[in-house]
Amino acid sequence: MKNTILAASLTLLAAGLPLVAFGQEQAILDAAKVEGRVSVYSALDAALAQRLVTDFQELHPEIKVDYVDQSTTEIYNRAISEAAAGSGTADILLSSSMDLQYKLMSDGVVSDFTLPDTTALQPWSHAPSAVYGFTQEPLVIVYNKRLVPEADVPANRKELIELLAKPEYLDKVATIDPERIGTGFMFFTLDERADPDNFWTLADALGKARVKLYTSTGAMLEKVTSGEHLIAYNIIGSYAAERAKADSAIGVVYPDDYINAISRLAMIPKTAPHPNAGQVFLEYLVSERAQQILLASSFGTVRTDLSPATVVPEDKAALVRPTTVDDSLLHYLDQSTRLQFIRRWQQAMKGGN
Amino acid sequence: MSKTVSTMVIALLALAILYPIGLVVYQSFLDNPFFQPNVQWSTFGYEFVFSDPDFWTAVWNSVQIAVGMTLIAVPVGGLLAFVMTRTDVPFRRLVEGFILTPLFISPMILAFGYVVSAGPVGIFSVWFESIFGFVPWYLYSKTTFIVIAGLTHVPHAYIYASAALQNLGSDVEEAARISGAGPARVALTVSLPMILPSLLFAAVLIFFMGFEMFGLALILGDPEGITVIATYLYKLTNILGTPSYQLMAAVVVFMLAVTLPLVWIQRKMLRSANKYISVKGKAAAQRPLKLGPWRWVAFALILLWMFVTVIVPVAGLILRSVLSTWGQGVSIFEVMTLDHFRQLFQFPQITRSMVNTLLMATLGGAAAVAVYTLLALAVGRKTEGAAKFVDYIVMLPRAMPGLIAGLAIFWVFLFTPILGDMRQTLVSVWTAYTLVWLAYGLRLITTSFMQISPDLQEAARVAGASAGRVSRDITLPLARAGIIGSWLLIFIAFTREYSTGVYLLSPGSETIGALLVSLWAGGNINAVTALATVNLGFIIVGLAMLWKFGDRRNG
Repeated sequence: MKNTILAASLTLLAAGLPLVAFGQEQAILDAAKVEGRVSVYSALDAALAQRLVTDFQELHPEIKVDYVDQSTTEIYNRAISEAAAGSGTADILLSSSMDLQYKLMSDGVVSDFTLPDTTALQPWSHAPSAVYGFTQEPLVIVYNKRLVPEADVPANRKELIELLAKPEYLDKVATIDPERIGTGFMFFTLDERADPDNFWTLADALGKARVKLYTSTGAMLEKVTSGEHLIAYNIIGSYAAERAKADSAIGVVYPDDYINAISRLAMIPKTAPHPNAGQVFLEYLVSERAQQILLASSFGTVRTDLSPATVVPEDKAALVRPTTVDDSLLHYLDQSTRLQFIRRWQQAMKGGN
Repeated sequence: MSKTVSTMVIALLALAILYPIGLVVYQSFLDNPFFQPNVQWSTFGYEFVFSDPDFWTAVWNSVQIAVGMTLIAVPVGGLLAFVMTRTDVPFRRLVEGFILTPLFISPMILAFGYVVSAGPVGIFSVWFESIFGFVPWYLYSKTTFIVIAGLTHVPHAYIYASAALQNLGSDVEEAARISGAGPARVALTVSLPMILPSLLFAAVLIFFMGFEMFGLALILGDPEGITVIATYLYKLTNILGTPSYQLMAAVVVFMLAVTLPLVWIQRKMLRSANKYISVKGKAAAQRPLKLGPWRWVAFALILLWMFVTVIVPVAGLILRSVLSTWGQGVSIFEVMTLDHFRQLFQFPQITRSMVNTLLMATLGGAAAVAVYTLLALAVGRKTEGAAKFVDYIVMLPRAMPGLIAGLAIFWVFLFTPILGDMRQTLVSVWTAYTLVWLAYGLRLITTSFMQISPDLQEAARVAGASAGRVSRDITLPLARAGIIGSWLLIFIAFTREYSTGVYLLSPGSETIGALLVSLWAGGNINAVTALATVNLGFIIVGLAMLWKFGDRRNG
């Protein structure tokens, strides 16, 4: 069996030589077919992941996809451990933890692979090489349509602050816990960067309303739909929009002051056992074909030739602030900067001031 | 089993436990991940953690929860075992089949079920409020938390207590009965004191389960911000930006340090407890105690317990799986849907995960039981010193949160050259599971060994049989029913285990537990409830089989 594979790969390699003229891409694809499989370690919605994998499988039946669900922390831990041991299992890492992914790149853990053609990709969505965003997901406010009167629904953060002061919202507001969840931390630092003058007013108002801090977006959506909570802040828009499709109680607000958006980042570890297949999968993720699937599942697109780019309604599309993939992602990984932010946050949670 | 083999088995066990734990201890004294170049010795991890008030809050919460749930689970479990093995409580066979149900449901799912049915706007809460005008409980308070944790851990105490009671002849109890003691007095002054060693063991085990508890705490702790040690670890992965192993390791070392005095107390209490059991009954046909009208009271209490621990959360879960939305002001009948079940079929990994779960639980469970049996035999052959050593180390893997235990074992496989090839196979997952459930399984086996009168073994030895021959021809055949019973319990444990295997899972090896957690993390609660409901269906089939099997064992 091994001999057959070897013979086949030699033939392919031999056949591949003249193909160099057709470009590197064909060579990579051929090598990927010889590798025969790609291991994807990913933090992504399971239903969406399934759609992507099935479609990829249709496009490249010769490359079998092994898909493993992991949390963002697990992906990071695995990546640095395997890099240190020099023995890898993952060919591609997908994670919404933009800062940790970027850190892996700056620590030299991932391969310096460059996509052959990035003209159709948003310039903010990727580093010059190695790290590529493939989704564009706004952060939104979610509310319970049954229980929150139309007049109360906040259009932006200023109105949210006013609403939080109302007694009927005490104990009824939820948000992601920035102390325990890394992506949650990132969401709030994006807020601080977007509106440094008013962000801490908002945080203090959340603290005064005795906001409930969660570790899971799913749990928050569940509790907003049931009415246990009325409003949840900084919810990933893709999940909220998907949920709202079938759940009549979920209302989504795209704030009209500004809308932060995050990307999930894809990269190939240096220790990838099937690096060529990893490249083919990464190319697929940002291809028009995959991006259409992402758009249909409310996850947005990083391509300039598709529209609308996100679930955000057309009239507010201009308010979307995508998070640029660059060194600024590392800013809050500095321990003292981070602790300073957390201390101020803890103070806000104690009721402000 | 010869002395040399016993020594080797115990040495291997020590290696398997102390190697991953040694890594964690080593890590706790470093300033960076141990595998990084130019890492320095440092006590920063301890300084940071011990000076963090949140850590001490979490420890205090964990202690309260662990103590509280032990105080509930052990007495209730012991009494339940007494009622089930000794009295004429009605529908005994039926009840017996369902007592273990809470064990089958993963704590995270159980907790979510409680949110749906007994949360502030839960189905039962809303009903109760519409009838009585108020809701007397608050799901997210620490007290409720302790009660739920205590009641759902009753089966753990029940397993050990009922096994020990079955071992024990009822002649002493009958003597008490004849002298005029009522059933309650028999239970409290005769039966339960006689099985004190088993109850003490269950108490220590349940305490640890409470100490490292994660799933329940994650779901029920969020709204009021109640952190326990395992959820505090969450914070440590994030607080310095990147996961800080030295901080997490320091916490784990703290948890390990707590086990040692506990095992010491347990051993000391056991020694004094054993003194009183010089008079042992001979296992004869047991005649059930007549409870009279009290049998219905006992039955009603058992039903109440089952209602709270099984019916309430499971009803919430199943109901939620057919609703598109729920809560305050929703008419349930208008939002019924089967979409979530349809959605399940989108995932080909569902069938794969079922096959994997079954494989791991049956074959993996059997292999683990084989290991535990070997160990039990080896320890039985050794001196007091070796037994003491084993007592101290088997509890250690249980003292670590599953996720950390899994990470440590992942490192062992990753950084030990000869083990590297096995990392990607189920062998590594199995190793982790077997280690984490070691204390639980080993005790199950030794309990069934204790059922065998040493007279038989001694008779064989006198007749000239070697140690190996005694194990093979006397101990093992006689303990067979007990070993198979243990296998079923390990089967349950392995079926719902997840966090331990997170880092060791390789592509295509997902289990139902793993899928539930990743669906949960991905926010897909519709699919979570549907899958959990399907999973429950399997559990019911499994229970029915267990029940049938129990029939044959008794027959």
